[in-house]
Formats: sequence, structure tokens, C-alpha cells
Amino acid sequence: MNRWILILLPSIFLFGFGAAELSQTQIEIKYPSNWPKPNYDFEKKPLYKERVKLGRKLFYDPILSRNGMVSCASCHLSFTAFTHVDHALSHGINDSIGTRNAPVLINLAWNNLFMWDGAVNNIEVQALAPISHASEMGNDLVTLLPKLNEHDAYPALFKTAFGEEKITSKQLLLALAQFQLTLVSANSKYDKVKAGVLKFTEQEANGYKLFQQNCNGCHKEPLFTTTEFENNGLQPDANLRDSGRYQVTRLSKDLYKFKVPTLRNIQYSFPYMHDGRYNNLNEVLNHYRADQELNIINQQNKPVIQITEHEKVDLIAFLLTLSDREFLFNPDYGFPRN
Amino acid sequence: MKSFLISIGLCLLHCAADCQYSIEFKPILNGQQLFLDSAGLYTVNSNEVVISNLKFYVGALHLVNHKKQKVKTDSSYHLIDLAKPESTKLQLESQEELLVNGFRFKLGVDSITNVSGAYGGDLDPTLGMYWTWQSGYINFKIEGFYTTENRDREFQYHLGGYLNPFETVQEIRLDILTSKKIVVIVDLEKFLKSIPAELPANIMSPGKNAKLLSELLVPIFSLENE
Repeated sequence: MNRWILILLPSIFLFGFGAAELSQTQIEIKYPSNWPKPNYDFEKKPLYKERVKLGRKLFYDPILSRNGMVSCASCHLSFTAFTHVDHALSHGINDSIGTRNAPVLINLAWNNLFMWDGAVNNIEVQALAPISHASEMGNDLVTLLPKLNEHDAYPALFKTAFGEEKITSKQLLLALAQFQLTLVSANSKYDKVKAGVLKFTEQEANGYKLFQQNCNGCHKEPLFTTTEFENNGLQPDANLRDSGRYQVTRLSKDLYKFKVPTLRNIQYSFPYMHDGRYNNLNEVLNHYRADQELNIINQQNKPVIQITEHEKVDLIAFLLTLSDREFLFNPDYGFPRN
Repeated sequence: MKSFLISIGLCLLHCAADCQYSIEFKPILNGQQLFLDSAGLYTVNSNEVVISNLKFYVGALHLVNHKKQKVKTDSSYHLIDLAKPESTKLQLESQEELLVNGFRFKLGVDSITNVSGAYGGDLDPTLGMYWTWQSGYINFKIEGFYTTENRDREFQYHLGGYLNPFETVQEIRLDILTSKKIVVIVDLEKFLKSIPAELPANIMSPGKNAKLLSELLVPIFSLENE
């Protein structure tokens, strides 16, 4: 009897693991060799093609919201660098208006903290926030998971991706994270100039010089963000009363600090700032220019750049070289057709 | 002396079913076992109280010897939920006889686990012990209400937070174990009485108050028949 158990056990294990392993294909994100290493631990948690594919389907599926009307893509459109174009503050289910501008989803694997205030500490748990927020998807996982488990297509897709019978919150969150980790933008004109394939125009080159002198401290190359939190001197909105990073840390040094956004694809991600108060880059640069009227609360924190109107035009010309149409129109990122 | 050492040696080698240590968390109020949603049974400061929810995480369970060295460790997290009585009982299994003098554990989830992404099992975010709007586990959750006329109010304490200086995870050290059946008393009267009156009745986010209340949880744990 004992001998039988010994023979049977390994074969059950082999079969069990083999079935799960066979259907999963490990993949890697591609990025330029001079970039820093991603913060996400891909060695510990590698990407799998089947999980990314599943995550993409979920990203575009309004099943995640309580009333089935809103998907992640509702506020994060691929063609506009995965942000909510034309909306200062994004709206979720029942046309509820949120309190912040939807951030772009670009090069997330290089981020440690997510959301404008860094309230989310790992991309794997990020989706919990919009799924549960009353003004976003207004749902909760306890309601959502049975819906997915009873769905026509999802149980088989999850099984292929994870090799387990039942859909769990961990699988759901991992799949969404895996898709978003593949959103890498590294093919802008700027990148091609760095790789020696293209050249800046004279105006762009001058703008780049101005950028390095004035902006690179926070919007650090090559990701165009330090991913840190800074107070850029914006007058706090009297209605939103958003104290930023302070809400998470409760430390006075973090009052009115918000995450430094990447400038990649900035041409497409308007309106700008955490509350979407500026509609174009001209307004943004006016905020940073010395001749602007300084605000009262934040005046001492304001980074001031001194550039002429002509230089402003050059700087914007450089910022437009950060647009990456291969990213925006990447067929692997858009709505899944099949 | 020699025969004494040999007998200890034999004892260490020989181990049958009695090498298992059972751990039970036993919440009490007014010295009696706590039942959820029971009216008319308990009072705190002469106010009748009803507890409707009690859940907390324990992790890094250690048995230690008289030199405070760890002799047995269970590094996983367990959610103790009074609404699920089976969750209040844990087992620590050993292959050999251990000389055990104390029991140690973390009350709550450590910062590394808090920042390491999505988990399943007892750490599944669907179990009502994870904040969605801000990443992080709730370490200790107690909800209830006072029914006495002049103090008819609800209270909700969702205590957690892993960021300094408001980290809330606590280490509980219980010494002098005499039995393999470890019963840990959780004295909620002691906790509720120790809450400063000026604090709000709803504390549900990390910060100064959550840290203060988390520290008040440490002395409410003790061993039965200590």
C-alpha cells in the first residue's frame, strides 16, 4: 500500500504542474539598454503572455464596474497615453466626478508608488482603488468575483493563465497588473535621437538644452520623472482641498506634494496637473515662469524657471519630441478585437 | 546528571502526536468569553456594550526556549476572525520534542508584506482587512456599540498603517509556558477602557490615533492560567 502511494504522488505532481506550465509562455518587456532597471521584480514575478492577454481583456471590460458601464479604458484611453483626454477631473459610474485628473499609464514598471499621492504601494494592488471607489467603478471584489466565476469566457481564460480552477482576487489583480506593466513607451523622437537614428531640429535642440537646465531635476531623463513627490507651487483648489501626499503620510513636509508625472507623450495627455487645471503646455510653462504672479500658500515652494517667450516655444518643441506614436497606436495595447 | 541528559535526549528524539502545540486565541470581556452581537452580557465603564466584529492578524509565530532562542517558527499570517470560530485555533507542529518557555508573535502585518503586492489566502484583500483607497492591511478591527442611554454610540476601530512614524504592527511576548495547549486571552475590556475619552469613536485610517490605539493592544494579550 505504502509503495503505491510513493509511486502515485510524484506523477500527480508532475501532471498537476505540467498542465499549468505548458499553457503559459514567459515574456519580457523591451526597453533601451541605457534605462535603469525596472522597480518591479520581474525575476520573482515574470510576465506571462496568457496573463497579459487576460489583463488586457479585463482592462477593457466594463464588467469590473458595479453597473457594467465603466471600464479601466473609460478613463485611460490608449490613444491619449492612457489618460482621460479633455476631462480635468475624470468621471466614473453614474457620471460621478472624481477629485483628480486620470494619470497616464506609461512605464509603470519603473514606479514604486502609484496615484497622484502615492497611496498605492504596488501595481498589483492598484486596481483595488478604482474598482472600489464610489465615483469610479463603485464595485467591490466580493460582488465582482462571483460574476467573473459565472461568466461564459473568464473561467477558461483564468485557468489558462493561472492553472487554477477558481478565479481569485489575487489572479484578477495580477492579470491587470501584468497588462499594465507591458505599457512601455520608449520609441519617441527623443529616443531615436538618443539612439543615433534621428536628429533634433535646431529648435528642438535648443529646447532640450533649456529642458536640461530647468526641468530635468524633477522630470529626469530617460523616464522624465524621478517618480518622487514634489510641491510645484500650485494654489490649492478651494473646493477640492487636496493636500496630496500628506493624506497618505500625515507628515507636514508632504503637504501639497504630488507625484511628478512623466513628460512622455505629454502632447496627448492634456489637461495637465493633478486636478487638470491647465489645458495646454503654454499655461503649464507660464505657471513655472518667474513673471507669473506667485500664489499665497505655496509661494516659497515654487520652482521658478526664467525663460523668454521665444525659449518657451523651443522648450515646447522639445517636449513634443517625447510623443511616441508607436506606443499610442500599439496594436497590443488597444481594445482586444478577438 | 548523565542519566538526566540521556532522558532529555530520548525525549527530544522521541516524538509522537504530543509534539503538536495548539494555540487558541480567546477574546474575553468582563472575564467571560466574548460572543459577537450578544446584548445584555457585557459592560465597559458601566455602559452596556455589544461587539459586532472582531478580526486581527497574527504572524511570525515563534516558540522560544528559556534563553529566548526561537525553537519553532511559523512565518505565515493568520486572520483571527471571531465570526469564524475555527480561525481562532492554530497548530504548530514539530518533528521533535521542544523545550519551550515562551510564545511570541506579531500582531498585524509587517511593512515588507504590506508593500509586496497581491496575496491570497488569509491575506486576500476580499476579507475586509485591506484598505482599497490606500494600500495597506488593517491589523486589528473591532466594531460595536454602547447601548446605555447617555452614550448610545457606535464605535469602529480599524487599526493599521505600515509607514513610519505611524507603523502599527506590534510584537506580543508571552512567557512561561507550561503546556502544549496555549490559550491566549485577548482582554477587550482592558482595551476599551484604556482608550482616551477624547479620541473619536471611528478611527479607520493610518496615523497618530491608529498608532496610539495599536500600542494599547499589547497589554491585552496574556496566557490563560498565567
